[in-house]
Amino acid sequence: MRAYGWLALRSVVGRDGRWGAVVLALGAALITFGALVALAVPQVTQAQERRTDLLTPRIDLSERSQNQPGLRTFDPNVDLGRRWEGHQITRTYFAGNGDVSDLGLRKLPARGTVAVSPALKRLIQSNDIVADIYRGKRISATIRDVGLVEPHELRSVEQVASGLPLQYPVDGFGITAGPNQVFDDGNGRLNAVVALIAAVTIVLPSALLLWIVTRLSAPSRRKTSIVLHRVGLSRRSTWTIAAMAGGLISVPASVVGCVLFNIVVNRVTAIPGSNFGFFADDVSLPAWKQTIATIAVSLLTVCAFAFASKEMGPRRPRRRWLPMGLRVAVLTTGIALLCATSLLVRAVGPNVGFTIWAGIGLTGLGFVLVAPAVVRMVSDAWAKRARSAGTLVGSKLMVTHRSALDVGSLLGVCVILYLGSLSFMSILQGGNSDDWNARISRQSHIPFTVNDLADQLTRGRILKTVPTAKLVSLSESKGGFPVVYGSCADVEGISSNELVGCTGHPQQIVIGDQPAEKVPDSLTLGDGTKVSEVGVLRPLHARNVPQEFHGAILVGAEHAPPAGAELSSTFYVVVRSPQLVASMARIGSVTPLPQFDLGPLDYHNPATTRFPKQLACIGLAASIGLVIGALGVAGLIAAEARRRSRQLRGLRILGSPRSQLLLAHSIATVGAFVCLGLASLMLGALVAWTFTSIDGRAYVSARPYIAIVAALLGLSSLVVWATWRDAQRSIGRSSGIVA
Amino acid sequence: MSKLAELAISAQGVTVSRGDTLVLDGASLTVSSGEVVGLMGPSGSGKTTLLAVLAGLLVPTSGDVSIGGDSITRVGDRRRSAIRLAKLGLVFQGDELLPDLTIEENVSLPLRFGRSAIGSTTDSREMVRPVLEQLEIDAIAERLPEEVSGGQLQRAAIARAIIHRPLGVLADEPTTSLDGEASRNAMSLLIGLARASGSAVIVVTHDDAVAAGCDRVLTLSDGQLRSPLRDHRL
Ligand SMILES: Nc1ncnc2c1ncn2[C@@H]1O[C@H](COP(=O)(O)OP(=O)(O)OP(=O)(O)O)[C@@H](O)[C@H]1O
Ligand SMILES: [Mg+2]
Repeated sequence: MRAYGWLALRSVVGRDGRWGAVVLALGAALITFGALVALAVPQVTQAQERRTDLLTPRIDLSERSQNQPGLRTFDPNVDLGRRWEGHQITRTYFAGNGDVSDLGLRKLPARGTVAVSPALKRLIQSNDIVADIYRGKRISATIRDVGLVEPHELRSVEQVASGLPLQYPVDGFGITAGPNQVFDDGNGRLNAVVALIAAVTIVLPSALLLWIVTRLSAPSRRKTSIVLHRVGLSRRSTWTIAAMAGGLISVPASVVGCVLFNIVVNRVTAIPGSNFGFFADDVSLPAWKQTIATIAVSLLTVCAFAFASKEMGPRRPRRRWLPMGLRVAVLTTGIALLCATSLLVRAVGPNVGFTIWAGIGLTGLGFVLVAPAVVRMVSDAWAKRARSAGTLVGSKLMVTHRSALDVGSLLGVCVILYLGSLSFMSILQGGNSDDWNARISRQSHIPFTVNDLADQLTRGRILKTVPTAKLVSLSESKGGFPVVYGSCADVEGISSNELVGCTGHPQQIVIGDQPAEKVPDSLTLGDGTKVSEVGVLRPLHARNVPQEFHGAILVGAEHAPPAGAELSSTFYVVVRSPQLVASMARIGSVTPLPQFDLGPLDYHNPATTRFPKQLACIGLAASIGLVIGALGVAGLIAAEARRRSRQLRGLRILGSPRSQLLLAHSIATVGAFVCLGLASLMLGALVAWTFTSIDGRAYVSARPYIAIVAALLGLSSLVVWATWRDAQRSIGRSSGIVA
Repeated sequence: MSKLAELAISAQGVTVSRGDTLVLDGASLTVSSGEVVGLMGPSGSGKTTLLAVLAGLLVPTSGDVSIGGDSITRVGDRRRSAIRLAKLGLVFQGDELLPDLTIEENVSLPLRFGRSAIGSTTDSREMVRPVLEQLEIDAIAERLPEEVSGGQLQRAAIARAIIHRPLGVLADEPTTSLDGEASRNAMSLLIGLARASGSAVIVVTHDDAVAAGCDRVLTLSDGQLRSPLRDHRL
């Protein structure tokens, strides 16, 4: 056994195996890290759900409790999340008094002041829009960790007047799992899809990396096995030695990955590039989980290593396990499904959108099956037309390594999946902010409506915070008849149309030719004024005003109901488009429960995103997968460089000039990758287009395409440069030809 | 009993087909301890194949091979490998040394993995050094295989084949890469050393001078072994 260990160690540190060992070690460490992250994510999610529950006020919704003294808050169901400049802020409002130590505060902040989390405090100082939300309020306290779901959470606690609508007595904090917990099964399905995407984006590059490393070192390992077998070691013994060599690399590397995870978890409190944070306690995994993950990754790498060296004797020519026709059929079916999806969705409806997943799967699979053959065809065609020796040799050499072609096509699938997931993420995000900004700036003015569930908004208060706004409000008269408050100019501002025949006296608004509801003889307006003989008023024909105005009586703004009149108003506001977000933020500083509606624009608005955590998870998985994949490519480059330099040395001996050598080398090294890259980009674009056609929010800008092309060109140049230097060195070293 | 023990290598009716061609068609031979047998034949006649069968690297379709009385055709890979490790030394065509080990370490492999495995590195060094000196490669003992010449490589392979004083030595002379002189010298050295330790030797050679140094020469053609000298005498 000692001899086995000795030999395994020597083969790991030996010159031939060293490169592979470094890549494998880095890979095993990263894969362990990725596996632990994958394990930690559901745990963090659970812990944060528990924390969220603990911070949720227990509300007594019963009628009888309405007049009890003590702490009150709003019914949490009315709070619709909106993100401000990409930040999700949890604002909580309390009235009355009571113990708020469970929220991480010593006492409830006084009226006009606000208690904020540390992250929110920083954000208020740095972000004007967020500062606008808290306009006119002084920060009086900082929320301690107990009151936060995660360390970077943006949370504020404010005191509001008691007696507002929808306020209920709080009888403590922390809901226990039970019948009153909201069960959201729509998210459950989404979470499954997200988990699948995250797993694929980590597993695929990991498998690729392992495959590359073991395949690349396989020839020398196999040779070692053959030699040892001839000396008199049984196949099982040579296998054991190979496995031990793998273990010598992967076991320490996995342990390093595990240690790294623990260090990172204790140092880092948020996913880089996102505001998805976590407490160290929530993310740290129990020892047994870490041990199992580490052992599993080690075992996997050991087995991959050992199997790579197991194949002995001359290699049988690989049998085509799928005839070409069938392979092409898989690819064309995939593409056809993608094309059909958009047609189907248009014809049948969004329910058939699931075919896109089958289309993506088949397209990816078909790409792996067909792409190498296509590249070979390209190389043949190229070689036939080649005029210079360099092109001829290059185009021939470009397809000599089947494994490089296979790896290249797998990377192509990664590109396809990457572009596809960008579209999917854009949908999750509720649109892309580039797309949204473009849509906004296409209009000079943006209309939006505000409903105030807390009845704090009045015309005057809105105009005080947003003086440039055009504003009309709609509410019902005491008798339940709709009344629009505003001047003729205000309505013209809303509709951006001239109002012909507007007198400034009460008039009934009529849209188009529809008959309006009969007006009662007298109305009591918001301020208590009585208007009589309304029935004989001249109708006011208006265009391009909200549909709700139809049949409503237009009266002067001075009759609008005052705050707290319990006549809930809808405000129609128009602002200049660059001031849109700031205006909403300022209105948000006046009332705790404003509800904004941007109409069809909201559908594309990334600020209404509901799934920031899912996005952060996919983002994290994609970045880990990207690093693992890049590592695999690096390993491939290193090995290709060594192989290629040997072939070039042969060319040099045949007497090719250096320029032809470089040409041959460039084509041979990157030709296949460029072909595969372009093909996968086109298929990725097809996937993105399909997503866009079934959901307008799946907007993908040209940027990722440019980035991929740039990365492809950059990587190609790097490969040529790195391998060329290596080749030159070995060509120059003519005496280096030994045996 | 002593007669049996002297029978180092024996093959009876060995048949091997590779692909569609019948490479060996009932070849038989016996070699006793201390005997040196030369194996000749045109390229592609199956000499390497025969050595592989005798070494237990290739299992024949039919026929039996025994080394020192132990059959290696009717046992599993483990037993077969153990017999090869203990009783045979191989010098094969092509590079044979592990690239990550020094010459000395490569030579010591049969000792390190053998059943009577020697305990420590220093023990193996004591046994390896004299052999390296005899083959005049002691000066390059610490180098890696890629840092030495082709002839030195071949001598290192020979050293590894005889280091554990095996019952039989099977050597396949490389047809390329070495000039005739160096190759002849290496083969003669092998024959001399194997004779000295009483091993049976089968050496594939294209060189009449090497063949002349053998006790007996067999020719392989049409899958069968013939004895040209005896034919000549007859
Ligand atoms: N792995 C293999 N698969 C199929 N056929 C093989 C294989 N190895 C050798 N052969 C065939 O078996 C026959 C014998 O080959 P072998 O290597 O034993 O010849 P040889 O006598 O050693 O030749 P040389 O003198 O050139 O070394 C040849 O026809 C060869 O083509
Ligand atoms: Mg041969």
